[in-house]
Order: sequence, then C-alpha cells, then structure tokens
Amino acid sequence: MSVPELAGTVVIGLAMSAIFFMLSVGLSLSYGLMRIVSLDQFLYYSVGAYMTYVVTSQAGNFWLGLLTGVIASCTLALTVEKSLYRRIYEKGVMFSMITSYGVLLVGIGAIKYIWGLVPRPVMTPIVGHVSLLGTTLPVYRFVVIGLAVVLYIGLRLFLERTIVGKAIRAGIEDVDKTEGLGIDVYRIFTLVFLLTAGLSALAGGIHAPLIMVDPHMGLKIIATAFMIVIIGGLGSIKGTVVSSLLIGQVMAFGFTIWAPAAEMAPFVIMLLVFLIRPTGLYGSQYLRR
Amino acid sequence: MATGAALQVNNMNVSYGESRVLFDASLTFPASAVSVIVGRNGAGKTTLLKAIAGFLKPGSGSVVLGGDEITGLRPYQVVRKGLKYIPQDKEVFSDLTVRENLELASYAMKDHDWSKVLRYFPKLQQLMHRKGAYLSGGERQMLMMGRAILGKTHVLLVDEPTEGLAPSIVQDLVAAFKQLASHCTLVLVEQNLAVARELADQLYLMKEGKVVAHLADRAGIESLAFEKDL
Ligand SMILES: Nc1ncnc2c1ncn2[C@@H]1O[C@H](COP(=O)(O)OP(=O)(O)O)[C@@H](O)[C@H]1O
Ligand SMILES: [Mg+2]
Repeated sequence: MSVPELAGTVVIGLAMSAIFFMLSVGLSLSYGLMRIVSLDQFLYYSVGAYMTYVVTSQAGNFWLGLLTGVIASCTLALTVEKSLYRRIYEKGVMFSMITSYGVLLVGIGAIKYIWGLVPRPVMTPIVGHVSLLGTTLPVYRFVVIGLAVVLYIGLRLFLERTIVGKAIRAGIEDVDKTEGLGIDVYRIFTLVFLLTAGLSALAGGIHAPLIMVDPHMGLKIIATAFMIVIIGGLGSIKGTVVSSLLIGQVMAFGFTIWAPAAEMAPFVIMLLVFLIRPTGLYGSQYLRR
Repeated sequence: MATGAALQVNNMNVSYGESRVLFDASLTFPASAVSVIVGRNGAGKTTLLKAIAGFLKPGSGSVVLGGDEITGLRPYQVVRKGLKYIPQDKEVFSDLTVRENLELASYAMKDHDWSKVLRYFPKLQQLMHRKGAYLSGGERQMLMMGRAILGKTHVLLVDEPTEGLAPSIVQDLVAAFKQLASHCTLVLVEQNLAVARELADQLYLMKEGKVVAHLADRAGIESLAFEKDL
C-alpha cells in the first residue's frame, strides 16, 4: 500500500468513525441510563438524512437542512418518548426493542410512501479538495471529522461540568439512588432521549452526501452502530470513541484491501474484544440490573 | 412540624410477586422523636422503609406524612415533601466526588447552603474532591446523611446505619443522630441493640413481616435483649 493510498484510507476511516460516533454515543448513554435499546433512533437518522435532502434540493442550503432534520427528529422523538417509552421504561429491554422496532418499521413505511424507493443523492455542501501526503481528499470529510471532535468535547463538558450532566452520570450508576435525592429522573430520561435523537439526525444528515439517502439506510447501519456500542462498553462515552475509531479504520482498510473483509472484520474485532473483556473496552463494573 | 405524628403507616401490605413479606404493618412515628425498628434479618424492615419512601408499591395500606397522604407518590416526590430514605447498602455515586454528590442533592432540593451538612459531618470538608469509590463505609454513611438533610427534611428514614462500621465511627454517628433528632423525626432500623437502646424514644419490633411489639417506655426499651426478644 502506497503512502497516498494509506493517507486516503485513514481519512475515509476517520470520517466513518465520526458518523459512527454520532450515531452510537446516544445509544450507549440511553442504554446506560434508561436500560432501553432504542431502535427508533435509526428512524431519526433517516429523517435527518431525508430532511437534509429535501431542504438541500429545494432551498439549496445543506446546513439549514441539517438543522431542519434535527428539529423534525427531536419533535418526533419527543412524541414517541412521551407516548410509548414512558409506559415501558420499567418493563425491561425486550419491550423497548420490540416497540421501537415497530416505530422504525412504521417510519420506514412512511418514508417509502412520501419519497419512494429510489435512492436520492445529496449535494456535498463543501466542494473543495485538499492535498495530503500525495493524495487529494474532499474537504467535507475533514469537516465531518472536525464536527465529531467538537461534539465529543461538548458532550464531555456537558457531562462533567453541568449539574444535569452529573445527574446523568449518577443515573447511569444507579437510577433509584438518583431519584432518592429528589431528582425527577423521567425528565432526565426525556432529555437524554432527545439528545440521542438529535445526534442520530445529525449523523444521518451529515452522512447523506457521502452515501445516498434511501428508505432502508437506517436498517443497514443498525448492526454496526450496536456493535460499536457493545465493543466500547455500554454507557461509556470514551469507549464509544475508541470503538468508533477502531471500526472506522477496520472498515476503511477492509474496503481497500479486500471488500468482503470490510463487512466481516468488525465482527471479528467484537469477538476478540469479548474474549479479553466481556464488558467491552470501557464497560463499567458499576452497571447493574 | 406541630406535635403529633410526623409519619404514620396504616395497615401496609407488601408483596414481591407472589410472596407476601409485610402483613398489615401499622406504625406511628411522633414528631421530633427517635423511633427505632428492630428485628432479625428478613423480618421486613427494609421492605417497610422502601414502601414508605415510594420505591415499592404496597398492595394496600397508606402512608401519611404530617397529615398529607403520600401513598403512591413517586420516590422523588416523596423526597421533595421532606421524607428522606437512606438505604442500607452504603453506596454513593462512585464516579462522582463528595462535592458532586452534594451538588446533586442541592440541585434536587434547591438548597445550596452546606453549612448544616458540614456542622453535623465536619469530616466531609476534607473529602470534597474524593470520588465516592474511595470513601470508607463510615464516610459514605456520613455523605448519604449529609445529602439527605439538604432542603426540607421532616423525617429521616435510615436503614442500618451502623452495620459494618468500627465502634469509634458508630459513636460519631450516634452523636450526629442525637443532634439531628432535635431538627427532624428520625426513624432508624438498627440491629445493634446498644445503639438502639441509647437512641430510642420508642421502639418497634418486627418478626416475619409483622409488627409484634411496640415499646414506648424507657424501662421496656432498656430491658430489650437480642436472644430473648428478636
Ligand atoms: N427483591 C426481593 N424479591 C423477593 N423477595 C425479597 C426481595 N427483597 C427482600 N425479599 C424478602 O423479603 C423478606 C424481607 O426482607 P427485608 O425487608 O430485606 O428484611 P430485613 O431488612 O428486615 O432484613 C425476606 O424474606 C426477603 O428474602
Ligand atoms: Mg434490611
């Protein structure tokens, strides 16, 4: 592998990691705090992408599209959280999986009804290229990477410095004890759910120019997203970062070396991690229930 | 709070699934008194406290706090009404510092004045930056109590506070309870009979999910012996 090829692959991998991170970190927090597997997040990912597609093609503004996607997804997520999740938080993981899978399928049906089955292209908002180590790479990939870094730092600051962030960390350790201090944990649940939905929508919108938006885009990314959550360790942000980086690179190099490996290799990594650390890379020993 | 009962439990029945563990428990906790509940392991003491605090739904019965019925409220609502429950396991948030643990209680109860906490538990001052995971059992118990007295506190339910602690720390806690008793109503579950006798204004004895004795006089409390009575 030549140096330019290597540089290109690493950057492509980092951009994939960035999107995986945005999609997985909320899932990890949601499981850590609420003990739910929220498959409807992949609907918000798709809605984020479709809204970006609509606004970009109609109004010519990608960033406005991204914002529209986040707002639309959060509104939808708020409705779902208040009407469905409130009833199932106390019922165990299986309930949330089945219910949210239902929401996802209904949503995909609606997307097919509105936009049809044909994949749609989304214009890249930034068309420039940069030269790096003998290869030219689209600026947009660097923007995607930068955005994920900013989100990561923002999230860390939120969790470490703000009182609500501290309540989230406390809740991840023990929800009952958090409520025992007088904190309305359901309000914190709603907030984390909306945060997750917003991040999913952002991931979808940002991913859109790199792929094509299609009704099944959410389904296609489920396995990878959950694999990252599990490899990283449920409830751990640091773990999600590391496993996103790992899987991004593994997939990017897989594609360059031998395409079938790109699909298979992440699962091999997951098995290897489990052999060494059954709780995932940064899985907390404090996580119970 | 005025004189009379600060907290009253009426005919409480609690089951875990099919197995019933609390049978028609009725207890009255007078304002500004220290009430101690004793009984062997498995007698249902923890279950009773959890049901009072809203963490378990009683099959029937009611809980009245200073004249207000609080049965069926969510635990955080019970806390905000001034009834605090300190569990048996002595676990604080291990990834949060002592300061952060207190900040959360302040945030929930909208009381940011920690002078009271530091007056009762001066030791916490030096531990502010230490994470919960690195506190001793006694320090964790003090932090839990410190968190609990922030904001409105009418009744403090404490489940086996001295369990597993060194005698000198037990004495510190007993001293703290004596001071606290003049500010709120204390309900302690206590297996250490010496501590129970020293603190109790009244005493309930539980056995196999039932309240089997109520001692409200000094002589009765003094005469309590582990082997004979529990
Ligand atoms: N979560 C639970 N599920 C089923 N049974 C329980 C549970 N917790 C406690 N028990 C049972 O309820 C009874 C009372 O327990 P507990 O209230 O913890 O007693 P104590 O605090 O007096 O030692 C015991 O028989 C115990 O085994
Ligand atoms: Mg107990």
